[in-house]
Amino acid sequence: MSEELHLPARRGGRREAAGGDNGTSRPALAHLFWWFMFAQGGVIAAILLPVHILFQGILGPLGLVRVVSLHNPNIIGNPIVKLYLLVLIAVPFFHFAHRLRYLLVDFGVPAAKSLLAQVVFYGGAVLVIILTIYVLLTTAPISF
Amino acid sequence: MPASWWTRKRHYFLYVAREFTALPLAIWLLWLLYDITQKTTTFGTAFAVFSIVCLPFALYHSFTFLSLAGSIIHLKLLDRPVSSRVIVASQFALWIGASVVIGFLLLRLAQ
Repeated sequence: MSEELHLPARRGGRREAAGGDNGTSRPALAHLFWWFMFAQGGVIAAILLPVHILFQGILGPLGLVRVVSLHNPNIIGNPIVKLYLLVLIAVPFFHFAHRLRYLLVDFGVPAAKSLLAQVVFYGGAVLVIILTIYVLLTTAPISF
Repeated sequence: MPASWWTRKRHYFLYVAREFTALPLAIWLLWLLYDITQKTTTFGTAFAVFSIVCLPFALYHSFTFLSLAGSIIHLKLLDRPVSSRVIVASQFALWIGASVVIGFLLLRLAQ
């Protein structure tokens, strides 16, 4: 249950080092990709989420301040806003997927280590990206 | 191992709390995405209550994740290693700076 066990880069790094000993080493590109997305998701969520939750989730709905409306076609139609929302909504799911899968492992669900679980959790993150792109492209036409 | 292992030590509990932050934050983002698909906003009192629950989780994720940067990022400046305290401080400065800019835009674009 030490934190080290949950960092994919270290696990991948160890495996790669073992592979290097017998001359069959190849770059652990898949590990690099998932570790990179895990880290990026964590950064995006850490830096962007609290202010969105505070303003759009709490102060706006409670009527304490007037916040931007995502139903204003001038706002949601803007390509920069769409790109920003794609990053804000979709990228953190690569982080969440990894954390929730290992939380299940730590709670004694060995099935969460299986290939199927990896497909479900990381595939789910990919699905959220596709869904977000679909929603952003279909809800309001792109306008400048 | 008993299912209650994480309640026995404060360190274990904080670890589980940190990993668990993913769940409310994921639901919050999915709600945001759902709201975009609707004709009029779904952000009412229920969303405000849920957001009040989510905010401490979001802050806890930010605090723990940005603190980690000190042990992950290793930089050298003028051949001297930058101390982890400086790196962590720069992460928190980035967080505060981004929050001020985004907060300003969220209010400014309301007009």
